[in-house]
Amino acid sequence: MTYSFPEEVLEHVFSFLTSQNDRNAASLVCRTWYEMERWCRKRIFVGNCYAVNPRVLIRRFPEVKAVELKGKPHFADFNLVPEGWGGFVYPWIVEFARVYPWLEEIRLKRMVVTDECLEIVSKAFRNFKVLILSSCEGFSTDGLAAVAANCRNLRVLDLRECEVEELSGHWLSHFPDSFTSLESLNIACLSLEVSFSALERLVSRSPNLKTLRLNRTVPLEKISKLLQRAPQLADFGTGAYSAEIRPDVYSSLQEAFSGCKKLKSLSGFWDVVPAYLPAVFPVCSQLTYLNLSYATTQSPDLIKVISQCHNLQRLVVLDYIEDMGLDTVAVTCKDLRELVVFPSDPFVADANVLLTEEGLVSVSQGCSKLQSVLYFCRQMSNSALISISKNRPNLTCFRLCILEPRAPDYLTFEPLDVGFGSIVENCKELTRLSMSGLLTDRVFEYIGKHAKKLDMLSVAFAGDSDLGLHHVLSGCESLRKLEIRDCPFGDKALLANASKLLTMRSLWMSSCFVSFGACKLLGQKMPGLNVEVIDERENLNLLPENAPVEKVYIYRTVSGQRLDMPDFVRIMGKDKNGVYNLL
Amino acid sequence: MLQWLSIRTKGEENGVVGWPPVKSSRKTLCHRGGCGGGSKSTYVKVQMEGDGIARKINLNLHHSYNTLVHTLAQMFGKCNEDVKLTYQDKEGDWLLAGDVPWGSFVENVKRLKLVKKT
Repeated sequence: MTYSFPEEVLEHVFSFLTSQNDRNAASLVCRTWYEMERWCRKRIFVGNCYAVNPRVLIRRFPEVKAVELKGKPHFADFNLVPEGWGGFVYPWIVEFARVYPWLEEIRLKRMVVTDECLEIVSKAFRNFKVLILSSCEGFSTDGLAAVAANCRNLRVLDLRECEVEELSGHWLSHFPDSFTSLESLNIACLSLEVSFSALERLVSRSPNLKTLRLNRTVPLEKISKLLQRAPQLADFGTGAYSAEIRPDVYSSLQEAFSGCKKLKSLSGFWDVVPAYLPAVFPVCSQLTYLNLSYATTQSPDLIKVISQCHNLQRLVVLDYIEDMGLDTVAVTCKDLRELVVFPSDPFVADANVLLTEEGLVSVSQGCSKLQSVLYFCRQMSNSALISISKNRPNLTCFRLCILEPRAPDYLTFEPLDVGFGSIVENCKELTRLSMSGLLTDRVFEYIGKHAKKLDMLSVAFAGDSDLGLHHVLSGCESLRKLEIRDCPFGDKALLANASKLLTMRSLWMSSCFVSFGACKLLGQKMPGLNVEVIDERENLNLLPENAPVEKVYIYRTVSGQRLDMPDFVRIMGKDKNGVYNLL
Repeated sequence: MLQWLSIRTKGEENGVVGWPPVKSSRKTLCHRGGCGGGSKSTYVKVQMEGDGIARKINLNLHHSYNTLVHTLAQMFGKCNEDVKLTYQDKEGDWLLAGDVPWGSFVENVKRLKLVKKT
């Protein structure tokens, strides 16, 4: 018996499903829904580019307009993934160029993007609109020039913390005079100067420009000109915020900021000269996002700015803000959702600033909407963590980095198990947790018991035995990403929880006690996983079976073994055809 | 087994690779001297002529004489047009600030004194 809606009706209903998870669920209802859904899915998200291959993707989804791909594991940000490991986007771009001529948006994170890739993108997709590259590398300003010259309908060019080979600043001048569709430009990560007149002309002919994040080389004296040409800006990033102290420069800057009635986000602020900070006062009360994390300015000057930001939702600062500055945040920023405090001098043991756990406790008390925290500091106590967890049970993301590995509670010298335990017990909606300090297997017991919504966990220099890892893998029902470094976790917990790994996106373990033999066994036992041993030592084949590997990266995949591995990456337990090897 | 345990690679920064977990774009900021040149902050005493109580200032947060004088003048409630900056160097001599390049000044300064222009 078949009752079915006409296709057009189903398609219309599906158009209201925006989340990929919802679409995946709808696809499982029946064959008709699967077929209908796959023909009308426009946006694709692939969280691990090696979990699936381009052919499989384009076979299932023929009408894609927007793709988002992620490559290297998160710890690549901290140089733990050797150069050449992978994450090459080229094979994807080639397939997209072949099959999706109407592709409009590409978002890539931690991938290797070459100039050739950018050239293909610039020429293959006639209606290309959005290019967002986060933490990507492998391309030069020549690639950017190709995008500028050829993407007639480009709206967004967003380079977030990319490593670009900068041959010249001339690429920006490749945007033709007829190009007027720009809405968002972020070049903050580039270090070479771009032609200011080309930039000014570009801004002048882009009436829809909402986001403009400059790089450090754009001088403060010239910013007023840009702001005057684009008073509609919602998101602005300055260049170096320093100049000779001149009243005329100051007043035109202040006037220019005053003219930006829609400005909600402010960033940049390299090399701040404090005397110029008050120029932003006219916009402070409008701001929802403020990033002062490049401003090496002392607390009193920071406080003068922040004390006017009553509508701030996200604040990113250096620890120069100190506890005193965070007290101001607690009192002023009642709408704060996210706080990020980076270390100004991370490689020095002694504190160079008066920032302690008290600042964080203060914000947790004063800011009732606080959901997300990334905090670097030099001391922490269980009592502070307990207070924070009781003040803010609505926390969803809690990342704490105590700079010294294995640092205990500075008041009692005990491990911080109870403190982090309190966080997972009270913050029932917690989806992301990063821990540091002295931690035993006990903290993992608490996590396994309470952290039922935890999606991502980052662990370093923690635990005593395999039991720690076992608690997490067996208890955390929602866990999808687990990254571990320098912990005494070995084979037992890993092998005992092998099937758990199929429910996760990935597991990273480096400088732990996982043996070569266990990796082989896991790879053999689990055809649905790629068990990558990443080890740069020579003569790896001479290693005894029980020797620990340097790094292992395990992820579920339907695409089998990848074919682009460097010699220091081995996929264990499978022969060359991706069939698992019983030998 | 023990010989294989020496796999903890050491990083340049006097410790472990990738710790603390700070992205390279942020690290270069610190090494470029933006955050104190990777070393401790340089706090020096500063006195205002005629004022009994001295203050302290972190020289690493400044990049030029201009901004330093401006900040110091503000600290003592004076206009920067009305003061001159002098300093005592490593040899114990008192000099007028501004003759040597900034970097050289920071390396040699022991204490500061703001003097009224007459």
